[in-house]
Amino acid sequence: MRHFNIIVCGVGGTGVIGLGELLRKAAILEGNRVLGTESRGSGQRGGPATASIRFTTLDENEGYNDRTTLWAGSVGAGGADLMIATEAAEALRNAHYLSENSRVVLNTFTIKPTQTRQEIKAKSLKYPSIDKVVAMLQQLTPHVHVFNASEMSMQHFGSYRTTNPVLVGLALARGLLPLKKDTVKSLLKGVAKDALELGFQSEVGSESDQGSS
Amino acid sequence: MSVLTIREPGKKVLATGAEAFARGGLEAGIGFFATYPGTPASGVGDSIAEVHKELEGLYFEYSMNEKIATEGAIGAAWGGVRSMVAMKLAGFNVAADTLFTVIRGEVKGLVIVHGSDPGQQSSGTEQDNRFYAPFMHFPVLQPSSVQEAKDFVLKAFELSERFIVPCIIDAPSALLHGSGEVELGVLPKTFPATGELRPHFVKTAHDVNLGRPGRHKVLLMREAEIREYVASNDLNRVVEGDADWGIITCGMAFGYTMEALNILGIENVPVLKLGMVHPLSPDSIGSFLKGLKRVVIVEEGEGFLEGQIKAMAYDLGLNVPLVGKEWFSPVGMLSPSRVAVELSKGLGVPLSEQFEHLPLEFIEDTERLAGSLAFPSGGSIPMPLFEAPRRVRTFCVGCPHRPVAYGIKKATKGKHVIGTDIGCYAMMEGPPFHLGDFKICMGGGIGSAQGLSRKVQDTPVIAFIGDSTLFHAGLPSVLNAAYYDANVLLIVLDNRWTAMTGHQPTPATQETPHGESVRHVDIAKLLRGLGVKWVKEVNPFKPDKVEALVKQALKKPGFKAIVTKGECTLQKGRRDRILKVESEVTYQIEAEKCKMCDICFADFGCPAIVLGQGEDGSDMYQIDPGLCTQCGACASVCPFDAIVAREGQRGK
Ligand SMILES: Cc1ncc(C[n+]2csc(CCOP(=O)(O)OP(=O)(O)O)c2C)c(N)n1
Ligand code: SF4
Ligand code: SF4
Repeated sequence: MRHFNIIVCGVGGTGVIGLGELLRKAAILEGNRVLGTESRGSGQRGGPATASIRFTTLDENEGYNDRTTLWAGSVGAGGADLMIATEAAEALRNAHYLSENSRVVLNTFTIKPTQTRQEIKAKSLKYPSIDKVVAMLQQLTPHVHVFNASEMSMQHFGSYRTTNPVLVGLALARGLLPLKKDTVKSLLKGVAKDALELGFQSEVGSESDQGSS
Repeated sequence: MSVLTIREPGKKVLATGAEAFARGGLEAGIGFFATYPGTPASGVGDSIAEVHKELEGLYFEYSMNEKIATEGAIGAAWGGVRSMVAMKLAGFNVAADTLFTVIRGEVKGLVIVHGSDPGQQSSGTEQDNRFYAPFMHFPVLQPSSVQEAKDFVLKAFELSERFIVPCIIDAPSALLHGSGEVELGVLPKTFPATGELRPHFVKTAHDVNLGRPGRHKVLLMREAEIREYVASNDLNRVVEGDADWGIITCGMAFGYTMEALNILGIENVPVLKLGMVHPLSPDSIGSFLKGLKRVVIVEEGEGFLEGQIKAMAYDLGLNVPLVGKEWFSPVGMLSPSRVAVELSKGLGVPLSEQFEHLPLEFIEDTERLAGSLAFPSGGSIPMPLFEAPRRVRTFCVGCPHRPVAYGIKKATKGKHVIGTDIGCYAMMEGPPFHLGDFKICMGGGIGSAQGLSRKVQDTPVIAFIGDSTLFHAGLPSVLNAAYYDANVLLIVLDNRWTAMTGHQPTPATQETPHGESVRHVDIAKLLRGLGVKWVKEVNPFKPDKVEALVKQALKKPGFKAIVTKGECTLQKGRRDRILKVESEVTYQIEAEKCKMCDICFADFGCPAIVLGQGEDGSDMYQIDPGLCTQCGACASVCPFDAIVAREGQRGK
């Protein structure tokens, strides 16, 4: 019995919930037992958003057992095998899911929070640079993969809407996501299929690389 | 395809807890379903709304509020069909008057899915409504998985019919919003379009009139019968183990406990899982407690099981130490991590290496561990390991509520008392507007504003209400305020949808996302009909007009109302995408005219206005064309006319 835990994090409006749904559907199509959950109610309006995907792959002739199976939809602290951050700083907010074995797929897209007059005056908003985000994440895990998926999406498809399929394609091609590309693709429609391929074929970025292309 | 309509019994599909409840209702052959939206329970009704046209015979409605939904379902049950309702915890309070009263009569075939919210992800309180059960005398079930969510609906209908009582299923947000596997059962071909008038109906009318205490006796007798029944039923089960201590648990806490035991490497502790938490059977509890040296009770919410089990142990003469809320605080939600940490502390066993690298204060703050997925509204976010920028929830880009707030703020210059209400517009309380001095429950803003206006005369009293909230609980208050002419300005924020809970229609909805027109209620006319003499409408995307109108209104004595009429941007955007409507203008900030006064960015705060860089590399405000919805509101906010509309498609 092998469990795989994914945490998707970002800001409401960056497709976090949809990405969670996509990965859960793909995992169940491949015969895994799937669980998950997501933050709802506030994510829509610029708040932090998360989704979790947990799946169990059984070995041959193995059955489920109350004591070893997964029950909760949420990933535990230090329990993420993979984190996909659709917005860079949100990876920091959710760093408690990581351990030294976790892999991180970090999109360099940033959404700076709105500021009040006082904050502008005091220059008190500290939005970290991508380098800093990566450096902090590397204190927890050496496996940080940085991609500019939003840019790629904007360049090729004229919109940010296809960012997440690009990101998934990039992760799949690098073996970070134990699912098959064709399974994911069968769940996508229209231009999202092309976006997945774009990410899958792309050679940008490597482990802990700034992936600035 | 929706999991609600798949006709392949035995097939395993992925569903959310909310969908599983709905599917359970359909497999049970309901003839009536009513709901009023409320997170976390909205998904149950929404998933039926999506497909109910394909389900022949089933009546579905979004009722005006939870009381009406419940009364409708009671009526339909008297009409001889199985009926179901779903509501959030706050809605249960609204329906409580009906439920307390109807138990004096007889209702069967009625199941209520109750959305609870430990951790308060989307509610004003964590209120543990299981405590209604001992004095409403209803059975309460708590499923532990998405599969059980579906299965328990069928069991709930059996119970309701067998014992002639409404049956409650308690479902926390973690279950309703969670997903998991469900094995489908048989879906009826059609649903009962008609039923036979049940005899209980007549009896009920009779009993309600008499209100005899005799009914109380009947209810207690039935409760005793249910206790006996549950001892012989499979609603409760034991995961066997030979340790000398045990665990009693229920609902989502069962799964969290099993995962926590796995994390801690404890393999032999027996676990009693209660599917029915009210009434409890002393026989099943007693036989589990007997012989154990200690029993830990793991439940979310208050110590509902704990109190009952302790009392039972006393009555049974069992002297086994029982611990519950002393280890698991009622505050916040539980999770496998939190249960593992509390068990490790309580039992004195080492915590696994999964947590080794986490700072000690993080581990000790177990609520934070549990709340990894719970971001309570209002921005108090579990502290992360590394500091991430603070994010405050705000209106969507192009939301009609933002320019209204801007206009009101300019009109009152902060001199006001505002009773706000529940909905997206309540985010006006946050930065940068700070409009909203008190907020109670749905309809409470206008209700309390009236009393306040009687005693506070030197400060203008304003009340906010959204369209859905107005229809839910606002109308009697408006009538009251108009009839007694309270000196209050009511501002109705009509965005045509119940936006906050996921865009369910309201009677003010004019057009579906697919562009079909629907019959709707004219709110201004409605207010006039209720006796409000001064009612004006305004386009919310014109903050200058809002400002002028609010100033004018505040000069008038007595009760008056402004209706801001502009559709929720998300819904309008959805329709525009489906119908492929593209805006013909784009909004831009002209660099030469912009004086970097910060007004559009800080005081107005549309997230599409971003701090970018000009050609010379200096700071410059810009409108992100990928985010802007071309609502045009910011144009009149700029005192230097630097924000201008340009003809031509947006450049993305
Ligand atoms: C008694 C009760 N039922 C349901 C809810 C859930 N709820 C929160 S806001 C809201 C209504 C929002 O609609 P509306 O008043 O139209 O404002 P909008 O969000 O569209 O701005 C509802 C139903 C609640 N808080 N209390
Ligand atoms: S969902 Fe609609 S009403 Fe709510 S903040 Fe967004 S645009 Fe405004
Ligand atoms: S027009 Fe102005 S206020 Fe409206 S969405 Fe665009 S930037 Fe925001």
